[in-house]
Order: sequence, then structure tokens, then C-alpha cells
Amino acid sequence: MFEARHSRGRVAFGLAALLAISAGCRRAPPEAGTADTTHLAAGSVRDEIGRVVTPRALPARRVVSLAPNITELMFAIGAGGQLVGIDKYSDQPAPEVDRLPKVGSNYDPSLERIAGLAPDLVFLSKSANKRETAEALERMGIPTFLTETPGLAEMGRTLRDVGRLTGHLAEAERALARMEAGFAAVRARTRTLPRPRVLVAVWTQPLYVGGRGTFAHDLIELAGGENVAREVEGFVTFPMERLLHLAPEVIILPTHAPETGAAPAIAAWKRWSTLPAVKNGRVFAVEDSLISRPGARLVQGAELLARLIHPELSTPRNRDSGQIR
Amino acid sequence: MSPPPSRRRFAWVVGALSASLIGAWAVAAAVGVEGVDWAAALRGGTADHAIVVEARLGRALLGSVVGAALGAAGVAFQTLVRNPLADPYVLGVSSGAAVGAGLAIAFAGVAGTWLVGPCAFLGAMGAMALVYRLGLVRGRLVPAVALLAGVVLNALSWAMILTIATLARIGTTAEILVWLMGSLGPPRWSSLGLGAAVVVAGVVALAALAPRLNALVLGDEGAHSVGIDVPRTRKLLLVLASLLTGVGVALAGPIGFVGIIVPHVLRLLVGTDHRLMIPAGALGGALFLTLSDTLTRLAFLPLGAEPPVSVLTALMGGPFFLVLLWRRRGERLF
Repeated sequence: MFEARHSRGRVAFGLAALLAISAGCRRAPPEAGTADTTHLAAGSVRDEIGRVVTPRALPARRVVSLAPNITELMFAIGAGGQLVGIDKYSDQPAPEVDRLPKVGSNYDPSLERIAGLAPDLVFLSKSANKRETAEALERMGIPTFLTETPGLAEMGRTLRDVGRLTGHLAEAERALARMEAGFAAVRARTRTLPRPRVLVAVWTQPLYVGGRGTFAHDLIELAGGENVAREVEGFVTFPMERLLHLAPEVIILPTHAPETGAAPAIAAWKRWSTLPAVKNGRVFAVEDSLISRPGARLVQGAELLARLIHPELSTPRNRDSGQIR
Repeated sequence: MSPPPSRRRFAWVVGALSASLIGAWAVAAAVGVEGVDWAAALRGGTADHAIVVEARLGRALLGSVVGAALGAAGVAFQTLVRNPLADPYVLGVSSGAAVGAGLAIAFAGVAGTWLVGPCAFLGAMGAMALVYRLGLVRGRLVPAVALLAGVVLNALSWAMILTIATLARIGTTAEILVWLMGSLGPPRWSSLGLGAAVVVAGVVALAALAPRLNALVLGDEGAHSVGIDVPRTRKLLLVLASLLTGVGVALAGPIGFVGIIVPHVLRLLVGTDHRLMIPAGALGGALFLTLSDTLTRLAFLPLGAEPPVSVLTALMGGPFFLVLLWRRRGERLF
């Protein structure tokens, strides 16, 4: 998933784009809000950043999702049939999303198209969309619900909110239970194993790494690894010389569609031959949306990371990863 | 024509700048955010060796090659446009190179890696040819028109780059935008070698043109009267300066203000004779960018993140440019 801001400065624009290579981005302290209806008029809810929202219908029958993670979650709880439009980066689950009308990119969608779809409710995510988009839609009389899912801890809230608003709360609870069971299983399998040092490099030149407060960090720690960049927060530049001393044993390159051309990115690491990860051929390109999108496939992402970090756990290689030898 | 600078003066200027540059490499190799075990660093195959040689020295050498290209190009552009405010960045030549390189990154796939250089050169050439042609009014170059054309070309190039970035794949979009930030990193040794060869050749060729550059300062009629083929010299100059800019941009992305700060400071120190200014511009540019980048690497300590070196050169160069405008407000700049 990709997000950019309409920033005038070159540097700011580049950075915004880069930081947004992985959705989820920085973890902000959670603000108030969950779709509870206490003290609100009937038919109104509070969204995840505390705004009062009044969907045209409850449960919403016609829904537009402007965030790839919400699209995934809707399908995961059986609400995919209620989607009437999605943003162009909503690529999962395939091929179900292919038949849905696209309303543009998530940072600059076509408001006219959305209005034309006459939705009861539009879902946005704080990290993938601009607040202005929600405000513009509200002015057009289209109700918008903003989700905020900065980390694994907030997955339950977002899943329940989407379930409640679409009339699939029971399925959302079941999906949540499955997700938690999946995480618990990964944790259980890796808990007693040694914890290899792992690096998440979202960019190689210049080096940008994933520190604390990223989904990738949470998943790596859950999958029995130790993030070497845990001293920093979010996706930030990192000095190569410090990395050479930290000597990661596994390097994860979050990549969009790694099966089509991750080889140059992996090959670019070969020169750092003193790194154990490079020496032992443990530099892996991993589908970005599996480990950084707060969607329905995070357990898959955690399982994949667990296999890459602990090859002793299993032998079959996952198709979502590439590898150098 | 003025007598050539004495051999002693030439040796002194070039020697002092070369010694400073070697000193800058030593500093760049010695300092960084990590402490280094020097005994380990002297052995190959250790992390400390990789830190000193690849992460620090490689990057310093890349900065030197790029800085030399931009410094020498700055001298050439200022003479070509006959204006002290001209430099590859201001004239839109860097942006032109960026459009070429952006196209290569976005649409040439894996081949893009080696195509980036030639495409950046073509983009630089195209931009400079356009700026130069627009600046020619009835056969005479009017600096103000050329500079304004450069300003507009900058905006136009930026729009083209954003369009290219929008059309490209998501990963490629980020790649282009990151590259546009203009930063130095550990280079591929092969591209560093190739870049260095082209830059050295370009600087030597410019130095060979130095007597004619001195004549151009006299104005078109003046240059013509001492037997210089003005249009031909201008064209040669245009190609060489664009080549140097193209190499610099292809290696590190657009980095501004090197081509304006360095020639100005050097002119105060060594005078206006191009026989001195061309080699001095190249060595001074190398020195300036190497030191700037070493400072950039150290920025991680207080900032906790490393800004691109172009931020540092702009933070120094922007105010420098404004002071220059202010101090010369009485003169006819345009």
C-alpha cells in the first residue's frame, strides 16, 4: 500500500512517500473512540478518532472502502458483498476485489465517483487516507468512518467496528479469535527457540529500517526474532556502519509483489558480506502487505516470518518470499 | 589575453586543494557514529573493515566525484551564461538530468540501472540546449532570459518527474522520489570508477578550453576579436558542462548549490583565470561535498536520523545565494 501527501517540498514529498511504502506507518498513541453508541443519538456512532458518524443505514448495506486493510477485513468477516467501491490499492482478496469499481488512489480518490455509488458509509483509515478526504465527503452528505490501527493491539477494535457497522459483529469476533489463536500458535512454536537478530529494511539506498512501533517489528518479535533496529521508532534512516556492527542474522525486505523482480534489491545486499544474513543467504523479500498492512492476513505474515527466522521449524518455502544463495 | 598563471601558483593552488581533499578522505574514513576497532579494520573481511572502506571511504569518494563534476560544471555555466548566479541547479540542468534518469528508472526495468547515466546526460543536454537557445536574443546571449528559462524549466521538469512517478509502479515511485532527494551512499565500485573516469575526462577537456573561457569573459565581440570561434566554443562548453552535470545527477540525484558556492569562494582565493579555476572548481567541489557528507553522516548523533546531503548543501547554499544577491544589489546582475 502506498500513501503520499500533497507536500510542496521535494524532500518532504519523498519522505512521505517512502514512509508510506508500508501502511500502518508510525504508531501514534491511540486516541479515544470505538464505535460505541453511549450518549449518542440513535443511529449514530463514534469513529476511532472520536468523530460522531451517522451512517445512512445501520447496518450499512452499501459500503465504500478507501483503505486496503478495511477491504480485506470486510471480506474476512463476510461483508465483502456489501462493498460497492474500493480504492485502487485494495488488491486483496484477489480475485474478489477485481470486480469492484475503483474510486482512485487512497490519498486522492475521486469524490464524484464515490458520490455516484451512493454509499451508506465510507470507511477510511487514518494512516492510509487524508483527513481532508473524510471532511470533503461529509460536506457532500456522505457519512465517513475513520479507523485507526497503529499496532496489533488495536486490531480488535477496528475489526469489531467494521463488523458492528456492517452487521457482521459475530463473524468479526470469530475472525478476531482466529487471529489471536494464530498469533498464539506462532508465539508458542518460537518461544523456546533462540532469538536471531532480524533487520527490516524498507529501503536500501539510503537505508531505511523499521523500528519499534511498526507492524513488522511487532510481528518479528512475535515470530521469535529480535529486531536489531528496536532503538529507533517507526521507519527511519539508519547508519549503515551501525548496522554492520549490529550484524543481523536475517534481513527482511518488505516488497510490493516480491515474485516480480525482488532480485536486484536482494543482490544489492551482497556487498555487505560481513553481515551474517548475507553470508548465510538469509536476505528475504517478503510481500509488504503481509507484514505491514493491518488487514486479515497478519497471521499469514507472522507464520511466514517465523519460517524465515526459524528455518528449523519447517522446510516448505513460501511463495511470498525470495531468497539468495 | 592574460599571461598564463605561473607554474608555481598553479602548483600551489592545485597542491593545496589536493592535500585538503586527501585530508577530507582521512577525516571521512575516521569519523562516524560507530566506534571502530582499527586493528580489526586493517584486516579484510571484518565488520570494521567494511565500515571504514565501504560505508565511509566509498561514500566519501563518491561525494568527491559528484562534487568535482558539479564544481567544475558550475564554473563552466557561470562563464557560459556570463552570470555569477548560474549553476546546474538554478539553470534547470540538474532537473533536466533528473527527468532523464527518472524515465530510465521508471520504464527501463532492470536495464534502468546502467541506462540512468546516459539518460541523465541526455536530459541535462536537452535542458541546457533549451535554456541556451531561449537565452539567445538576436544572436547574443542575454543572461536574464537564460536564468528565467532555467527557473521555468525547473518547475516544468518537476511536473514531468511527478507525472513519471505517478505512472510508475508503486515501488518504482518511491525509488524515484527517494533518488530525487539527492543523497550519497556506499557506491557500486564499478559505477564509481566509470563516473570518476568520465568526470576526470570532462574536467581535463574543460581545462583545455580554459584560454577560450577567459576570452568569453570579454564578451562575444571581445572573444571574437582575439580569434575565438564563439558559437563553437559555447557549444563545446554546453556539452561538457551538461556531461558533468549528468554524471553527477546520475550518481547521486540532484544536489544543489555546490556549483554556486564553490566557484564563488574559489574566485575570492585564486582569481578569475579559468586555467586555475577549472581544476580548482573540480577539487574544491570534491572537497566541499565530501566534508558536507561527512557532516551529514554525523547528523545521526543529534537528530537520530540521517538527512540527505542535498539538505545540507541547500541549507548552506540558499543563504549564500541570498547574501550574494544582497551584496551585489548595486551591480547589474542581469
